Amino acid sequence: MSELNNTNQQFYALPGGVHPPENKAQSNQQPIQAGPIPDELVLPLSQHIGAPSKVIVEIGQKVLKGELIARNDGFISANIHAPTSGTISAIEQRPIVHPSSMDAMCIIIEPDHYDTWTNRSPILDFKTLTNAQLVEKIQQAGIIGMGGAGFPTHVKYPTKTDNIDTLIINATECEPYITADDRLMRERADGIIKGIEICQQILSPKQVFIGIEDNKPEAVKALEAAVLKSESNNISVRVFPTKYPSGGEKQLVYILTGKEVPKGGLPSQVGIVCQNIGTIYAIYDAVMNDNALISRVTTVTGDAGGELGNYEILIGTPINALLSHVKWNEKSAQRVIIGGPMMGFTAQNLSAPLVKNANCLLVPKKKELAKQNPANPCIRCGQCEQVCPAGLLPQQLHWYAKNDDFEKAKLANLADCIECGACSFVCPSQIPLVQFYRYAKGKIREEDRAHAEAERAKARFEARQARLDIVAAEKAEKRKIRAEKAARSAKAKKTGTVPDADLIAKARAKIEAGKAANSSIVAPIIDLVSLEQTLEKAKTKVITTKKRIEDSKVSAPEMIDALEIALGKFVDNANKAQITFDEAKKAGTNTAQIVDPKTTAITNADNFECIESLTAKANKAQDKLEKAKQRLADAKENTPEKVEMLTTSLEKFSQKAIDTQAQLKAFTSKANSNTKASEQVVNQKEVEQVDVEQLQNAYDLAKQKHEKALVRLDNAKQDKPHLVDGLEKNVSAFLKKSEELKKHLDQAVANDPQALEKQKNVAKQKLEKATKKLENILQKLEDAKANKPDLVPAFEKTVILMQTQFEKAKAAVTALENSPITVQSELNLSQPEMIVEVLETVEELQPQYDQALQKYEKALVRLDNAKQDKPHLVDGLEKNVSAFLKKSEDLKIKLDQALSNDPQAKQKQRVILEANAQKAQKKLDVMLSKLEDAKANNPDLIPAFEKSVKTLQTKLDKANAQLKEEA
Amino acid sequence: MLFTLSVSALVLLSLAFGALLGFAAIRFKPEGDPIIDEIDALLPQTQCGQCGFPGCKPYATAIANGEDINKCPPGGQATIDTIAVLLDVEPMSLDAEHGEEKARTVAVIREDECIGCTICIQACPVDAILGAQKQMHTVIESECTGCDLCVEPCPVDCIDMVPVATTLQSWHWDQPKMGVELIPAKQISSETH
Repeated sequence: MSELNNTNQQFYALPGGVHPPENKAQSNQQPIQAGPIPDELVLPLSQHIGAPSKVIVEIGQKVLKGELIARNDGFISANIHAPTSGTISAIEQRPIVHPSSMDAMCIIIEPDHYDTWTNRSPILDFKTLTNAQLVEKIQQAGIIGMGGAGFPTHVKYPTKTDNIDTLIINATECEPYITADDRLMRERADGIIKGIEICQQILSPKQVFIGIEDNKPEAVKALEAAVLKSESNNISVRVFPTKYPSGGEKQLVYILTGKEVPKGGLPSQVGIVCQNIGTIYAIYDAVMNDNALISRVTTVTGDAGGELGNYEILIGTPINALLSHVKWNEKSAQRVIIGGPMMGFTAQNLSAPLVKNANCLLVPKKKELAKQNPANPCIRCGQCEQVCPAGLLPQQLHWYAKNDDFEKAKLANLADCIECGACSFVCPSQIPLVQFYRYAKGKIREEDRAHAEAERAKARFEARQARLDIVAAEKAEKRKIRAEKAARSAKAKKTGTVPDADLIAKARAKIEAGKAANSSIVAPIIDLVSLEQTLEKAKTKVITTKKRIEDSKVSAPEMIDALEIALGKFVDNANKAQITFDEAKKAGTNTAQIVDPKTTAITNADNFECIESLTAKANKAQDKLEKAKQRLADAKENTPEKVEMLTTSLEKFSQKAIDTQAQLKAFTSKANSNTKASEQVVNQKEVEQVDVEQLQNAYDLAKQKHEKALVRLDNAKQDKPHLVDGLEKNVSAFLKKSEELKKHLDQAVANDPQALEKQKNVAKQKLEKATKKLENILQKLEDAKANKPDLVPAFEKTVILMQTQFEKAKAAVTALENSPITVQSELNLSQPEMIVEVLETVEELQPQYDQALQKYEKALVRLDNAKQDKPHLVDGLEKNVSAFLKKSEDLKIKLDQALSNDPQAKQKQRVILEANAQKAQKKLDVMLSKLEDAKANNPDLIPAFEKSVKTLQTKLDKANAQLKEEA
Repeated sequence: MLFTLSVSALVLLSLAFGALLGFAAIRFKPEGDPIIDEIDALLPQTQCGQCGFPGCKPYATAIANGEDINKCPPGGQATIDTIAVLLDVEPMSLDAEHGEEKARTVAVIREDECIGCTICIQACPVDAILGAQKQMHTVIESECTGCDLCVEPCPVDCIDMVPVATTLQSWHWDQPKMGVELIPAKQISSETH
């Protein structure tokens, strides 16, 4: 049994507060009536605080009363059920009850008016259920705070409830006009107490207070009676004097417990859970009867309201549907207010639905509520401050809100304002203070949101910058590494030339060694020459180093030591070279004496070697002289202090050059005389051949050099004008050299009867080489085309180079051939015994001719290919073709000549042709057998073999045809 | 004697406190220029560059170095005023050269027309555009600052700047009009004459 002693009840007086006219009698005299079933029910998806519910029905779907139609989306969200049976007619934007008069997404149900319930499972004893099951039921029923804010109720019942010691049931209903809770308590007190017991089981609080104002005595009586019936013994009904706004959550907590909920906090922080009486009844209904929250008691009041009273309306009933149900006086109505006169707001659109937290519909007559007059300025009377239940300074807040000084409004605790309207109610200037606070609150919320967004944007911006910086740094790092690599490879290239040079030197040494091994006669001479050269080099090095030391004495004293060491080394080298040279000289003379018969030849060769080396020397000296001259000119412009030094060196160089040239002349004359002398010597023949060949080679080399120099000169003309002079001199030097060599060659040729032949041989050899090379490169080009397309341009370039070389060689050969033919014919006429030779040439000429023809055909094929793929190669290939044609024609002529000269030639030719035909036949047989093999074993090789068989067949045919022709 | 005692006591005290202050100045020295951060916090962080600086922080730095405070159109007059209060300078009106104060907008990609070039993604200063090469892009609306920077580079002009719509969540009451202000002063003067 609970103890009830009203006289001992404690309550704490609410600071501030007002006493507006209550106006509750109009609506609390009639029992709760059933509301209408309207033509359509509009259920907004967002009737609660938190995330909008998720629709789980489709348009056109039939639903039963109490069926779930929208599920909670997250923890702070609520389920929505169909308030009656019917069809989902639409899911669309509809006007809702909101001061903004904005639309929101709603589910529209067209009731079928059967009001058929879905399956329910009512229970008799909630104690059989666990706390979790109870909370689950509350959540499933979609219950939200029905006092006003609409906070989902299940959120208030956490699973861990240790710190809740007081449950407060808010039965205050302090706002004027509203009597919904009053009637509910009078009629359904047992259900309410049952609901409280359910909450008690979940929260197990030490005490339960039902807070109620003393203006509802019937309700108090009913509740007390119900409490007496209850098994629970810690429920107490606390009655306290009527005063607006004691029904505010924080205010009620203070009145009943004297505890103050911290700023911005929840009652649970002080161990209290506060629940509206309507919510408690909904909990009871949901747990015991398995009824979802699909209806609520709403007061219809106001002088224009028609049949005033409380109606249990279906959630989603449009305002105008309820108003027409109660037969309201539309004409005399001032406006329709949702909620009470203090905190409610005017409904902008009467088609908007009444939702879970709509407790009152106030329809005042035109003069019932004072119209909002134009506000007067604040007179700083301070009445608002006296009535503020939250202990704020309303007039200060007003100033801040009016001047948009939100920072100061925040400092003045605007957030603690409950917007009760007490300040506006007492304001003598009729300032709409609450609207100012609402405005300021909205603005601050907006600013906070903008600030949060700005912070997020800043964070994202900075994160992006950081990311971009990292990427840039990585790129820079990569670039650096690449640059380093490039520098390293460049360095390696630079240093890499040294080993190359080494290799070349080695190769040269090898060649020389080979030569020495081949002809022991020439070896000592060459040795001698090279030794002399080394000696010379060593000597010059010594001299230059000495000079450098002198220079560095003036300019760079720190280099002297190093240079002196180097000088020592050079002197040693020079001495060694001198010794070896002397030894070699002695040995050379010895060998020369030993091989007496060939002495003249040796001397001759020696002479020629010497001439060559001397010419080279002379050229070098000339070059050096030019360079020195240039340097001198440079120095004259830039570094006058070096002029003297350079002039001396220049003189030296010119002296040297003159000396070398003199030596050269001497040697050349000697050589000439020697050559003349050697004309009579038969033994000399070999040596001379060497001479001519050597000369020919040297001449070709010089010519090449001359051409290269010309090319370089051209390049330099474009890019490096300061080098042109030097290069021009170079060119002229090369030209001179090549002319000299040409002379020598001519002389040698004139001296040697067989020189021309030899020359021709050399030229032919070259031509052959060039042809081979050209073919090779063409082959490679074909390969590259097939396999490595990126190498093709390089190969094409080389092909063009080769072609020019080849043409040159070709031209040389033809030039030489023109003269020898006459010589040969002369020879033929004068010397009958030479016929044998000519006959031999017929045999030689025939295969040559065949080869030339083949080549010509190949070239033609290639030209055709090139016409299709490589138009830039066509010119070169055409030249090629014509060259081959010419060659074959030449050979044909020669062959004919040879044939005409030789009576037996035809027979021989026939023999050759027969041999050819036989060869072709053999090859064809071999190829055919191979083809058979391939057919048996390697089917993928068949096409290749077939092709070769075909070519061989044609060859055979040709050979046969030739044979027939001859026959 | 007393004189020297008092003087030495004062000298000792001043030395002690001087040392304490010196230590505090070094120990608790704030990193960076705090005024720059304060100005930066007031700027709207759209990173739009309309002020002529590459982002809000650079503009904040520039303001701290004497740049005019009226070059931020997204911030508008409110920002100018708050910065003026912070720096204790005369508030000025927004420099029209840098743009007008407009309602907040967000970029919206007309997704059918997007060719997936990723240029706008690179232009977005706050990584609010999602997409990949040859894939449709979209703007993460909650992260978009409405800076306009993505509109210009779009090769197919498929980005619109849409004003942010008021939602039930963002709606708030307007400031009520005071009755006295409703009566124009001119009328009063004409009535009195």
